[in-house]
Amino acid sequence: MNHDLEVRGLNKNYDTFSLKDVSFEVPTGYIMGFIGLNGAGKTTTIKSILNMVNYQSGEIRVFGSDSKNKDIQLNGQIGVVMDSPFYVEDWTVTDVEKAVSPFYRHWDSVKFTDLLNQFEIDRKKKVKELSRGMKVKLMIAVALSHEAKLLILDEPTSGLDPVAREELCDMLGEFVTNENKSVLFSTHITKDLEKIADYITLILDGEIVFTGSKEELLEKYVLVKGGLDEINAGHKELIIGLREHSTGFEGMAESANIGRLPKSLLIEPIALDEIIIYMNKGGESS
Amino acid sequence: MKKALKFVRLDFITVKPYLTLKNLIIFLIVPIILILSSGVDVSVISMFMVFAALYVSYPFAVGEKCGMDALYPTLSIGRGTVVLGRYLFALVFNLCAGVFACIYLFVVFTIMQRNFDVLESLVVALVSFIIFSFIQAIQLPIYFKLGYTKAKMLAYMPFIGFFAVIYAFSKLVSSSFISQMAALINWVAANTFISVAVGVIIWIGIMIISCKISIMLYNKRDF
Repeated sequence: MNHDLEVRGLNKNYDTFSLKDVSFEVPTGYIMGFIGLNGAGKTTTIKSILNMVNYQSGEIRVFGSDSKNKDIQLNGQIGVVMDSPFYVEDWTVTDVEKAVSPFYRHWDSVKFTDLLNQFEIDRKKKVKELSRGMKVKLMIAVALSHEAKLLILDEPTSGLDPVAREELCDMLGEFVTNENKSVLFSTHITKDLEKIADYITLILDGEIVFTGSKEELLEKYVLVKGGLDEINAGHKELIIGLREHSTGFEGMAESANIGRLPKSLLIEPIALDEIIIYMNKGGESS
Repeated sequence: MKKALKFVRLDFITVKPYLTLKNLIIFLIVPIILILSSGVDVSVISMFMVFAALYVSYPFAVGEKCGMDALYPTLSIGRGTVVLGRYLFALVFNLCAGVFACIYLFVVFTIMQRNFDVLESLVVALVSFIIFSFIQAIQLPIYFKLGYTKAKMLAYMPFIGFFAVIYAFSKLVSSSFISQMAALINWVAANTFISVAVGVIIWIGIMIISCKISIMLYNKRDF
């Protein structure tokens, strides 16, 4: 399998936070969801990929080439959508096109105009006059107008209403119908990913705790519920993020450990957001 | 180099929203008021260079406000290109300001029916350009190291330092030093070609050193 993006052993240290040995790969033709709580290290990882920050060690390869190779226009083949745009607030939408288009070898002005029309963005409007959702749509329009092979999105849906989120997800699904295109989609709104992601990378406190197919992750863990009298200390050790309350308990367990838990417990499939919550709670208690 | 030139254009687009008609009118009127009120002559050209120097810091100010340093890598603009492009932008802006100032004053002086000395104007514009280039050679690495907000106060220090040095010179230098300087100026006047060549080499050398320092400092920053 080919990979558009490979991150290996990435380390970046700040005073109060570190990325520790972050490694994952985005297979060509698929959508990789990059999930984790706020402050888990998603944005730092993405900024490292895009060379916005200097990392201490590790290797990042984009389309097979070292991302630090200055001779290759790697980022020109990447469409970037961050949680807020980097455009001058007093620029009009037309100014945005004038500013960015000369740097893309395959800028498609017609497509940009089509996307602006589709998103109902007025070219004469200034960036500061656009709502947060419209700003995200403007970034998406730029990202999709230069024949990018890889889209990197950092929390793009956090400012969007449900309809716009649905539209974005549909657009990303359509983007990867071309098998040579891939998406790295960082978000903490995991509902979006449940619909469209093929692969998931989960990061907690700067460390990757899972990377693989979405099905693999959802099959790896289960939701466990039951009465307090049904489990003993040994069972509790198998439950990640155990939450006890007056009527019983709930938590997450590895599917491989189901056989070691009492058969009377209620075992249910787990959602992505629940995995993050229990992983985080498990991390806190350990 | 082609990309650096594209970056110069990007910097112009960045400051364009702030090159307003209101500002232009102020820039055009203030020199006239000075000429009329205090009788200053073509030395008012240096005032246009001050305005230009203010605008040269705008890409840093606007860029910091809007996080544009993070935009550049997404456009595959390397950090060295950002620095080189910003230096070229500063030079082009200063040159344009000098040329515009000369043309504008020629028009103003003609309307006022005053004598306009072309050679004197060009010398004033050139000297102002060189002085502001040197000041910016100190300022730009500070901006690249600290960003606009943190560097703002420090970046004014070269201006203050320049005038402090001029003042100190006028007060402290001995008469023998002045006579030595006069001899140097006479030599420069007698050997124009060599003097200009040496001056250009020194100027290029300072710009290259400043640019290299800026690249080194900018490379270390995270956005």
